[in-house]
Amino acid sequence: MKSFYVIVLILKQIWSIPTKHKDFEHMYVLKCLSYLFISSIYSIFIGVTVPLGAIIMLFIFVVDKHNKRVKFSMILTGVMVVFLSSTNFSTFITPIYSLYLENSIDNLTRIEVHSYSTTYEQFLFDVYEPQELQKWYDILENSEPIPTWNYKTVPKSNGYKLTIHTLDGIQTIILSNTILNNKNLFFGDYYIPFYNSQLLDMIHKEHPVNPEVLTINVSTESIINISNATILDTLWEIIIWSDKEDIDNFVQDNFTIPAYLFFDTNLGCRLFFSYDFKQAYIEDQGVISLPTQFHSMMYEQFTLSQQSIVNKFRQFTPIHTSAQVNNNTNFYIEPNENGLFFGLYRADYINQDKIFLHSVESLESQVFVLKSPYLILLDQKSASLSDLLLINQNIPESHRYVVKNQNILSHSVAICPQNTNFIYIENNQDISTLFYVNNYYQSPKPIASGAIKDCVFLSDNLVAFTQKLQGDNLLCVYDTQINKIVKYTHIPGELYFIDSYNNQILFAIQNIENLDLKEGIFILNSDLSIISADFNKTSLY
Amino acid sequence: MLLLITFLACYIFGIRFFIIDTPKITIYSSNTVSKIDSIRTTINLENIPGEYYILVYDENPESKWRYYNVQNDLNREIINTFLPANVKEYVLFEGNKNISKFSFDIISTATVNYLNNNKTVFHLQLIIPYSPFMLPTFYFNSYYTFNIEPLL
Repeated sequence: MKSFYVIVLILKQIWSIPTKHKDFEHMYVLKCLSYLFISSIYSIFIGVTVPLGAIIMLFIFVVDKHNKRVKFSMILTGVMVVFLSSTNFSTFITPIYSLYLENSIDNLTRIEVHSYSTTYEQFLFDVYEPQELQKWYDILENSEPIPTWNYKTVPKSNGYKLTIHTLDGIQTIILSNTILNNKNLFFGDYYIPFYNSQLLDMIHKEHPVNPEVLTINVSTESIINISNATILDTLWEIIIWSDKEDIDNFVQDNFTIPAYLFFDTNLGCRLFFSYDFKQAYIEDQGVISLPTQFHSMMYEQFTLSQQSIVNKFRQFTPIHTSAQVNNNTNFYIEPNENGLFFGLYRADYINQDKIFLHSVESLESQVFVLKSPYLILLDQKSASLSDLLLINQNIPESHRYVVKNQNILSHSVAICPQNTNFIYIENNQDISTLFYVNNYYQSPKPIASGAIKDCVFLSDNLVAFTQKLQGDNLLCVYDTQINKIVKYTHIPGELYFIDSYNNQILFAIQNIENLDLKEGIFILNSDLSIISADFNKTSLY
Repeated sequence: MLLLITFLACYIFGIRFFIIDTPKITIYSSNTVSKIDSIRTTINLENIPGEYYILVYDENPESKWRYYNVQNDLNREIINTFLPANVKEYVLFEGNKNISKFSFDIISTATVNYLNNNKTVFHLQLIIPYSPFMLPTFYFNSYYTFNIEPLL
């Protein structure tokens, strides 16, 4: 629009050149045109726009004798063009906005800070000490106006509302938590836009938004501590910014689980959870509903904390299969007559004999039976080197090396319920990798790597494994059909798989808490839910 | 000429002090039945204006959201004015008086570890153009943010 205006102005002046011709002059038109166009030249000198051309033409104008009026108007037009080209909307409006803000917040008496969202507001704190008010004034004054030519932003995101009380009246400022189109501060009834980089931090100093830990007292002896930052931040966001249900409908008996949200300042919040963690009651404020992810996570953590105190931890043998007890007595490893080498033999009850299948490096090697006629042989060559072979019983000479010369954790080898696919964990110095084999003719597929400790099949499509990540123990479930991890649960303690059968996994959690040894038994179902099981249960069969 | 300019100047300054009634928006997300790891987000409006646009995006490129089941409108002016330069994936709906509901599906290809430990904040801009008597269009932009819970 500005260029349009400039063109119109220039054309209008050019049109008026012949009409204003007064004295006779050589090349009159050319001279006027040159006055006009040279006066439009400008340069920027130390940040200031200088109409260089106009100044030069002014000197020439003084010496020129004819048609002074026209030529002066050409120079003025040139200056106009310079002015229009070098300024824009922002240069006008920015100082106006800043001045408006400064005037409105002069003579501060009090600032009230509330949480602000489209549905809920809550008073947080106020500032009234003169020294503190001065600090706030300085920060507010430093807001940078962000005018926009063709649109106006109305903030509707979570943030804070500041009520500024001055001697002249009350003003409102909305401060948004997120930056909306480069702006975060909206002043007054008309949402005049600014950007302020310090105000949010100032508010967070008084009223932080990052809780440190949520402590839940599930019983007199048992406490759950949740310190996952995302979960805590989301919970606090709901407490501060979401709608509350009326206290009138509140029944204390439904909210039996007390909890406390700690911050690294004096701020704290006491809540009472309902038994299923779907709601929480906050004193004097009301009842909040927790999002699905949150309450299912919390309920699960609550379940996992149901552990009994024991004198000694039990030891569990590694599990390898998820089907019915695999009758493995047909296969065994023993040395030959001379004791020179070992072999894998199949017992032949008909002939009362044994059939040699394959040579084996040591007695520690293990054999696992897959769907007939296949076997897996984990051949232990030394303490940290093994081979994993696939053997076809009918053609034992043609074995297939799945893995050669790697450190395979023998307790980790596991076979799916259909006895076809299998998984194992390979250790490579610091990193272990979980591999999945579903096609005997292709190389094993890596599923996860890190500090992977053990693995077992939950069902034909689901692989459960334990992993240590950043100091936390995790139980993860991987779906081999969609190639993604579908469950990811923090485990309070060390997890040991006890049994896997009928699309369920029985596992134990052992934890040392305040010098007490605690142990609990749980079941993971194929719908990924975890339930508590009887302490003495050691088999799913 | 001068009259025209003063009129335009008054309009341009005056329009800033004008607040229109913006529709009320509710946003909710749920799991989709068809695909196990996609999330369907539905946006409902009340008090629908005659013409409007809805622009949705996540500013964080590391969340790697992909949008499905959506037909993006191609209004270049809206995209250039309101979408931040670094955002490549977004959803732009155009609506009118008859449409009160929009939905789209999203899937993330970021790792589970990342999703579980980082908040995902989506930006939603409701843009209502306003251009009386052929004057240059002025947009009123209601700016919302919302969270989506990852599916674990």
